[in-house]
Amino acid sequence: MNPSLKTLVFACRWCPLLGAERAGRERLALPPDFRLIPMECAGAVSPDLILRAFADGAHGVAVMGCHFGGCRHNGANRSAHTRLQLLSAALEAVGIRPARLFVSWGTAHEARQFAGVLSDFQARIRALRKEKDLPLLRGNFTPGHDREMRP
Amino acid sequence: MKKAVLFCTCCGTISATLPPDRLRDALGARLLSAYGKEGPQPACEEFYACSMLCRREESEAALNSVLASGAEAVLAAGCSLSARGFETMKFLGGSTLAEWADIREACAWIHEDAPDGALRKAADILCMGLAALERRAAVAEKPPPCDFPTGEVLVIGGGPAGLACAGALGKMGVRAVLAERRAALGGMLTQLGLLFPRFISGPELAEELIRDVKHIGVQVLPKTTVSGVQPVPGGYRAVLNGKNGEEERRFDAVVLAAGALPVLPRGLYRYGELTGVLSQLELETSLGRVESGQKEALALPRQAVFLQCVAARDENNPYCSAVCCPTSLKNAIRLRSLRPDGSVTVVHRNIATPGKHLEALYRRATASGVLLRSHDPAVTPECLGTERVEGLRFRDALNGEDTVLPADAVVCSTPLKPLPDTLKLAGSLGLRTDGMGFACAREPVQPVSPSGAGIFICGAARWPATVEHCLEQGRAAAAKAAAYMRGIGSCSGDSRCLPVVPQTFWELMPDSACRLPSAEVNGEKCSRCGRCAAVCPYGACFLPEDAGMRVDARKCARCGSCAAVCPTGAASLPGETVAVLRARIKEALSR
Amino acid sequence: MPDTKQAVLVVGAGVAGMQAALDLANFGRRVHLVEQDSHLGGQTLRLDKVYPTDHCAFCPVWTHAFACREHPRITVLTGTRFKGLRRGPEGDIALLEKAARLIDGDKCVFCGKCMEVCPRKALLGRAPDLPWDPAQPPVPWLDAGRCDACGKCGPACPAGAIDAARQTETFEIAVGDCIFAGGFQEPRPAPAPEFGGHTHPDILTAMAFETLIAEYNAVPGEKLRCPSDGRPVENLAFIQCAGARDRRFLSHCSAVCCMHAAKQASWLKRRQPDLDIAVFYTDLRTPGKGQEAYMKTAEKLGVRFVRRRPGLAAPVDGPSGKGIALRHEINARVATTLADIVVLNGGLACCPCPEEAAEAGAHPCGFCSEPADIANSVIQAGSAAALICGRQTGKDASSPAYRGSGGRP
Repeated sequence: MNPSLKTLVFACRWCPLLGAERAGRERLALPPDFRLIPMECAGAVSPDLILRAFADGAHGVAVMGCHFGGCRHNGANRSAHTRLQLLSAALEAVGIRPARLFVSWGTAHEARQFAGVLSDFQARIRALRKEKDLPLLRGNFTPGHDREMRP
Repeated sequence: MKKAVLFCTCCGTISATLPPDRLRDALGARLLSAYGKEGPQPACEEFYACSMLCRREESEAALNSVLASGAEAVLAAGCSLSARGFETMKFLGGSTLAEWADIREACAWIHEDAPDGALRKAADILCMGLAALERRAAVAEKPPPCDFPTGEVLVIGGGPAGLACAGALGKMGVRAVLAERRAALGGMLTQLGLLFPRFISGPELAEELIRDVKHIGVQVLPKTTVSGVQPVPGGYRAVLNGKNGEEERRFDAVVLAAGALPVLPRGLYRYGELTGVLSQLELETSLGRVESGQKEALALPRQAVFLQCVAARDENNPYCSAVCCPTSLKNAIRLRSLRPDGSVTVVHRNIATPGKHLEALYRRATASGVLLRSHDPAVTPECLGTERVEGLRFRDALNGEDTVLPADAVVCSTPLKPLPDTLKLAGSLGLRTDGMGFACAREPVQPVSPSGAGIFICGAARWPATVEHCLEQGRAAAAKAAAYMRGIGSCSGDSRCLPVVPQTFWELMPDSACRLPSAEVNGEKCSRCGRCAAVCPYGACFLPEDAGMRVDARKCARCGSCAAVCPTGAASLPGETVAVLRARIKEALSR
Repeated sequence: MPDTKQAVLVVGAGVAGMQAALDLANFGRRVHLVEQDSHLGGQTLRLDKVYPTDHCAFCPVWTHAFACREHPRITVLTGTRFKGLRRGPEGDIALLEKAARLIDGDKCVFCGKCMEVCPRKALLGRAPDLPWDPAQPPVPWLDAGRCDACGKCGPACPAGAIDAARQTETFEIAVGDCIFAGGFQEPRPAPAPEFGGHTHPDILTAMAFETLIAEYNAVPGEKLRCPSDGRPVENLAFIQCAGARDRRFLSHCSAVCCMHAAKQASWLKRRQPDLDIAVFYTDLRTPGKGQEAYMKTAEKLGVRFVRRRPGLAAPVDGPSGKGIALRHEINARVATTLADIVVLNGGLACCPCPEEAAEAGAHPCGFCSEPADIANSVIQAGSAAALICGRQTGKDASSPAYRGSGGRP
């Protein structure tokens, strides 16, 4: 297994993070190449952050949130969904494989569900390792207002 | 900034997969490689391992040790936040800038069979935390106050729910303004006779509630309609049309208690065509007049048939209106006692009397001689007669036979439906309505708080409810509104906006101890594009005329949507700014 | 005027109790939230899904439980039973009993060592009958039936949290007001002997059935199986009003069962569309918000709602007999239908507020005072909290319109 097939998972701290914690408590085995960033709401994930993740070396990015109708923030996940669909279309238009951006709503709040969803995602990213689309994003992306990043 | 890592081995369960010395070496190598020999000092000065960081003695000792050696910020690594992390962070965060990293449920326990990968991941997680700490700016100690608070709550509707709400608010020390479109307060209560289960009349209960409201000093505005409510910084602006003509007033919170009225059975069951086909309210009025001596009991029908679910549970009104069965049974009992020589039959599809008290009403009705027949809804019942009603034909559901019940009155039980004005009002308040005209909150656990940002609903505007339930809902809405007015409890209801990663906010004043600072918009960077206002689920973002976007601290629930859509990075959550997030992402992925 | 510096006691941490505690605490009162279970959440936590939104029961309950734990004004006392309330010189005195628990939740770090060393596997990560693990922070659950008190767990615990010799302790606290939210319980044994409740593993109560079909326990693609012999279920029957609206047992209507049956039936139908599900009801009660629409959806999914009360439900006798036979009287004839599993709904008994406590001024709210679903329980709790908060300004003229739980006689 290629050790540098890292993926980034943005998980909202309600349903998906609960699934992650339960998976931990039950000691379910998961592949170690994903990095999880908890967010208050999946609606807080901007396309900017996702593109930054790809630029920094992610082979895949997952956004996990609560199911529609179950968002604690009055359905902010619905507008997030629209945003991410637009991003997905934009990525596809420039030649990035759509499977690299994975969005899951409310399917991962239980230990086994979380483990299953994450393992599937990792497997799909691993299947894409021979593709040549990522260099389109590596190092070529400078967001307009990215003046705050200091080394 | 000098930082230290407090690493918990959790009695060996973490260190079985992540040995602390290996982790320390991995961390050291990474940080040195990032900075080089001539560059700035390594970010992590000290790595302190202990066995149970959640124990107060151990965390105190760890903290004192690293603070004594000059650390200015601390990254604590251990179990998950909801296990012991949160309470440990409460202590650590109270003393210094601190951050928590979950390396147990999130790393050691799920990667037990891949220790090398787990080690790399743990090193990444720690670097993410350290990078976030580095960029965590000093945060204001107190959340900014709300703009222009007026301290007033507008209660729209002076029926039982609105009166109970306004009264409860007043008793809790909140200034309430009650707007009622009619000249007299009381709503439907003024038209109802005996109420179950208290056996007082509607007007009597209305009098009690009004007396309470006036005694407390609620500002009552009769003959006042509310046409349009808009969110503004700090609250809401309502247009009131009352005795002073049109007036704009600002309120901090709004309670919708505009109620609902029974539908008239026009065009159904020959109502209006045959004498004796009555609406429930008409019977209610007759019964009231007999009970108060204004009318003879013999004027009441001798063979009354109550027909349930008229214009309800059909395509037009596909819902059960909850109050019709109790009302029919109550009126049937009254009719039986006023005309013991007659008969009363209730023809129904289901008798909806759930619970203790309503079921007791049902038993009381049958005990007093009220007859019940269930009809098959596949065959629409028919009122028979030429000028007066003579009978009701229906198909009996139990034996499947067509039956004709002789009757000199057929009482149609119709559903409650909110007025079109109420629908418009709900729309301007930004409330979702279901297809049937009722305003929606967040069922089932937040039934009176729609978005939580200062708008509440109660009573029949929310859903048909008995008078008792309306009173309860009014008070429940008042409890929520009063807490909201105190600025305590986050805007998303009762759950505090708990930080994803706890930060040093615990030294806030107790009153605002539950609230973390709301989202902020940096005025210099704001381009006034308005995207944050469009996406905010709480309507907390505003665009004043002469400045950049502002966030109403009371309404903000820190969901982060504004930060997600802001093109210039002006909108951000204090503590989890875009810079912090980007630093986390970079540390997670770049090695 | 009641002393507002005194805390309010909330007995019971189900949805009603937690809501009352949060409303009071958010208003500014201090609250002692007492719960006899080791976790917050009450009966709702034993549910898998809730109606009418089909959300997981856990989500809303968990966040409320978390908020109760972290709220600076709420003190949570789990594993503590409410023994009584009496009037004191300045307010009320509540008598509480802290149960003797093997593991002290305050000390446990959930390292799992006790679970590893137990030779009988009596210590588990969570209680098996709860669809969701609710304890925050997590504590291993002891199966008292399997434990043989060998004592190996004690020395294995590095946190010193295990003490088999711990006794129950009784203590008193002074409070200014009290809200009683004791909820309901399913009576054991199940009443209505004609339905054979608890006599056969395939005749289940509603809550037991909920655990059986919980999404946690469901493996995708697997069929529902009979608890008795594991054969796949083909026919399912719900009997409503079993033990309720019945002068022999409970004369009231439990208010939630019709919708509860519709919820369980629709979820099953979605997973296994070929299941035959019949709900035998007396009155189908859907008066709440969104409930009629929910029922119609269940009907569209193919759930059969039959207005009939079976006379008898008994396991089929005989060597080839499998299933439960339901005897019905239809048009003066006896007909028999078979079901693989029978679910008995109804007979939810309210846990009443002790009289002495009520006299001392405890406000009952939630199911214990009037059978109610989640929305109505939460509303009742908010109403009780408003009454208590309203008293502190001294403006309460104590009119009957406001006293007690809605002034019910």
